[in-house]
Amino acid sequence: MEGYLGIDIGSVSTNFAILDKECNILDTLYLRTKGNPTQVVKKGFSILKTRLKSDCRIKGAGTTGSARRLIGKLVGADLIKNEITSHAVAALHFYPDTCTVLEIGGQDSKLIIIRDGIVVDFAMNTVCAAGTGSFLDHQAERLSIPIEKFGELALGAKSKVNIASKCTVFAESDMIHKAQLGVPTENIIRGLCEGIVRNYLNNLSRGKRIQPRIVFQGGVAYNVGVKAAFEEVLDSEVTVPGHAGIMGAIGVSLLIKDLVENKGKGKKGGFIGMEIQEMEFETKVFECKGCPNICEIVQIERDGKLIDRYGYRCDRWELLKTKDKFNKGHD
Amino acid sequence: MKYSTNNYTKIGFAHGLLSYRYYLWKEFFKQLGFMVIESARTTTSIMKKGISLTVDDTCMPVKAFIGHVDELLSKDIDYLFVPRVLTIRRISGYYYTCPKIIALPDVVRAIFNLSENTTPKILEMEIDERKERMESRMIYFARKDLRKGKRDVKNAISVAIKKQREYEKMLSMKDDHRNYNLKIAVVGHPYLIFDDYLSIGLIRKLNELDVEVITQFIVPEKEIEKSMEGFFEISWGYEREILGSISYFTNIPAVDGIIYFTSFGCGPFAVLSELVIREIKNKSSKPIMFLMIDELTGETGFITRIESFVDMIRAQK
Amino acid sequence: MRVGFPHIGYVYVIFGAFMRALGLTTVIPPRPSYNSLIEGVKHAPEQICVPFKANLGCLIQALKMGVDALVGVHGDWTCRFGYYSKLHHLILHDLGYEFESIIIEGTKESIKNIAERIKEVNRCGLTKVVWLFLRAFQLANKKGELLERLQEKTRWLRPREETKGAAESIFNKGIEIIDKAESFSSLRVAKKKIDRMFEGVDVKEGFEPLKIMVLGEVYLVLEPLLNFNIENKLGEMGAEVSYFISEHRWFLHPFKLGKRGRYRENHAHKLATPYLKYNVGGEDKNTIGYYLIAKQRGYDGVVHFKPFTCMAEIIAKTILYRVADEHGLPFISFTVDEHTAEEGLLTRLEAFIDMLSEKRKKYGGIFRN
Repeated sequence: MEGYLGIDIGSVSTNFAILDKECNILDTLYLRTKGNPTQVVKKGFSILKTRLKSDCRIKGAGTTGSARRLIGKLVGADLIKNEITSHAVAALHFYPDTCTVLEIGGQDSKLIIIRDGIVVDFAMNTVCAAGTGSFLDHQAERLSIPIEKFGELALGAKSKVNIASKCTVFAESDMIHKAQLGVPTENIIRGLCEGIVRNYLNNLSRGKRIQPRIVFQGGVAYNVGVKAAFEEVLDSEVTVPGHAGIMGAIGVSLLIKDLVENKGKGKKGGFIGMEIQEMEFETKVFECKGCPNICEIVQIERDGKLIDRYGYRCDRWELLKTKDKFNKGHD
Repeated sequence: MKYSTNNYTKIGFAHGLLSYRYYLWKEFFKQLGFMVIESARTTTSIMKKGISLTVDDTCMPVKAFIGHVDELLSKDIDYLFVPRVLTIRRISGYYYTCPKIIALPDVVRAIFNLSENTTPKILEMEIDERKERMESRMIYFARKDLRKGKRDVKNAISVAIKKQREYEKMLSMKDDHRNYNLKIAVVGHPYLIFDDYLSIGLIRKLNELDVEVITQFIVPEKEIEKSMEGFFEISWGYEREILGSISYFTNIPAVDGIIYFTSFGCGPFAVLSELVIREIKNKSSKPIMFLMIDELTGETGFITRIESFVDMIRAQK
Repeated sequence: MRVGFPHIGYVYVIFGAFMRALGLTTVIPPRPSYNSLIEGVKHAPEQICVPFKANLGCLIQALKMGVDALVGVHGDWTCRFGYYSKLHHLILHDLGYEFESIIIEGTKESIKNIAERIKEVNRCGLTKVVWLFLRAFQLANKKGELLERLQEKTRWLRPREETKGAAESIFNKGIEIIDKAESFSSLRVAKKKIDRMFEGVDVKEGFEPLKIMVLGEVYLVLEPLLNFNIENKLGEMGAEVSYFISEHRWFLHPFKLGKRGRYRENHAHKLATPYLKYNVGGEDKNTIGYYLIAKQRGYDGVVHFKPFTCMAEIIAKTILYRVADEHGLPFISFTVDEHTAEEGLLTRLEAFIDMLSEKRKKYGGIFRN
């Protein structure tokens, strides 16, 4: 049996998805990144290895998400793809008539406009965490409500309350203020969900036409309160796919499957396999003082062996030239 | 005939930006027999609409203006008055306004997708005082573009100018005659200071703290231009007024403190702030505060800043 | 007299030669880096646009190298760029640096003043000064032409190169060669050298890269530090980049010379006029005009750069949304300041390129939203 592995390494969560030749999902895994992408990928691989059938062979791997480049190099991924394309591909796989993809992840949010099966426009917000998953997480914790129940509670609210949600700091103080006025928690949560939607559309939808079918994915999509708020504001049905949280990983594994099937092995060089637990990874960052550009060079090593460098502007640090005389000058 | 002369033709007037300075525009059109529909005072919903329609780092007054225009468009108007003021005349020469004011009609057209064939039409009065005085431009505009009779226009402009004089006099006068024990000069763009919503009621709040408020409008233009001599040439007309009057107020003993009131994203402020800091540092010890607001400014934090500034001045006195 | 001036892209190659030909010694500070930018941010007003901060950092570096005078321009425009030099010099004097500030303005007195200074430095008469100036201008112009030639060839080569980094290394060598050539004859030699370097490179046959136009505020467009070396990045992704402006045209601009540049500029302004009546500073009319030119010439997409709080580009961006709505050429806009993270920019840029190549695959280059 053949499998294709997609890894989505975000700032909050890291997701794995393995697809077979017929695009069936063999296995998925969701882990918290906890600020250490290498560690979490090691852990993920060891879990996946035990769960996979012994005859399953991973034919290719791809990475996406904000740490895609680092992890991609570490595991020798055949494809390193940005999140936007991955999400669009995954949405189109499940719903070929998709026209809009709403995605709210841990630290950023995206809006992708699709027409006739291709991406025609997109927007991405990375500036502020307001209205993203980690913000909701934090608020849930503060109100001591499990995040899974958040959405249901919002649906139970009887009336509306406005929560300023342009900025996390202001949203929080506004919520505290409203709670002190005696507003029921459900109403506050509903206000929060609506605020997130308003903020999302304000930031991202400028000059874009949102048309059905609308697919809502990313971790926040599991929150029925936010989904309901989107449906109300956009006045149309919003589809949440079953694997909403891991659509990025699924997207990149779909892409890698295509790549391997069409071109044989990927261009970026072979996946090194699941046996990475024993390997040592190290990232070194240093300034090159060779010229006034003062580039910040990032150097990745696997078991003491250099596997990639980036950040340079001239050919001095090209990977081919790994002679020692260049390595000396940087400390 | 270019524009309709129907007596019931409705012209929309957005309550923002330069309408706080030129009262005569509104009066002029009223006198010409148009029905002037004004937008309401700035509210949260207007502001929200403005924010959602503009680019993120646009300054707050422009966002508010766009919000006002949006409100007017729902009011079934025939024309929308959006002036384009390129230059203004001051006694020392001709100066530019801000880029966002110069490009205002273009921006309104772009945001609301308006063109020649859509209703409402944009009534774009272009004022370039290097070429022509504002009053004569208005006369020309009414005669040529609006096809009004000579006598009507003459009458309208004289009434409008009279009203404008009264308005300016009102701005430069103290509104009530209570005895305050402190005098603070609030300097900034009138579309911020006099907009109760945008300024979060700054003047009102200062009055409540037993502080008399004066603005740059009480300073004669001659004095302002004289104070400008110490700086390098600034060619933004309204910024000359701000900088000159701050410099003027620093030398007036009766003024206890200065508040330079501005909004986030005001381009010229970045340049002016450097000059003002140096002016204060070198010449006087007058307390000055840069009070900056943006969409997120909450009332509580705002009051805290004003109160502590006033307390500080009182303690020094 | 040792004079210094801030960097704007590779303008130092042209402007430095111009100053040297006038008999001055130029101090070229190191190319802007993140460290110099942070140095500028420390002393600049908080709300000013990022080119001001980068320039200030650059000038501090020049002053540390030892200069007698700093050269700058001043203009009574609506854009804050007009006040850059005077404000820079004010801040630097306050920081305790000692230097003479030479401000070039459009006025007669200013030009007379500068002529006097050159007379003093060279100990010569007015006729000689005029001659010197004409020669300096000629030389700078020739250098600019060569620089533009090098840039255009490099941009053509980047997406087509077989070995990664070939174009970049030729470009770096080429800049050095041009910078060193100080006479008309050595420039002719330099031209041949550069042409020869390009001849030996292997190119991918029959590869049609995506064509991208880069627009926006001139400093961000020209300065690799602040546009995150977009030319290189797009080249790696397989896209050919065109700029609406070059260092050469930017240098010629105030002299109202340079037929090609001027024609294109006028044409762009004419196209932009229905959407924006006056140029209110920055490059806003060019931004809209060149967007339309890019559309006419069958480009695949447009990348727009805007400094945070830039007055002119805010207007341009607002209007660009509508123009793009009408004309359908995809554009992506980046707002840049000292906090901008490369990673976020790169993700969006990659997705943009993915989107354009998908579109081209499906519609063969001609499409509408």
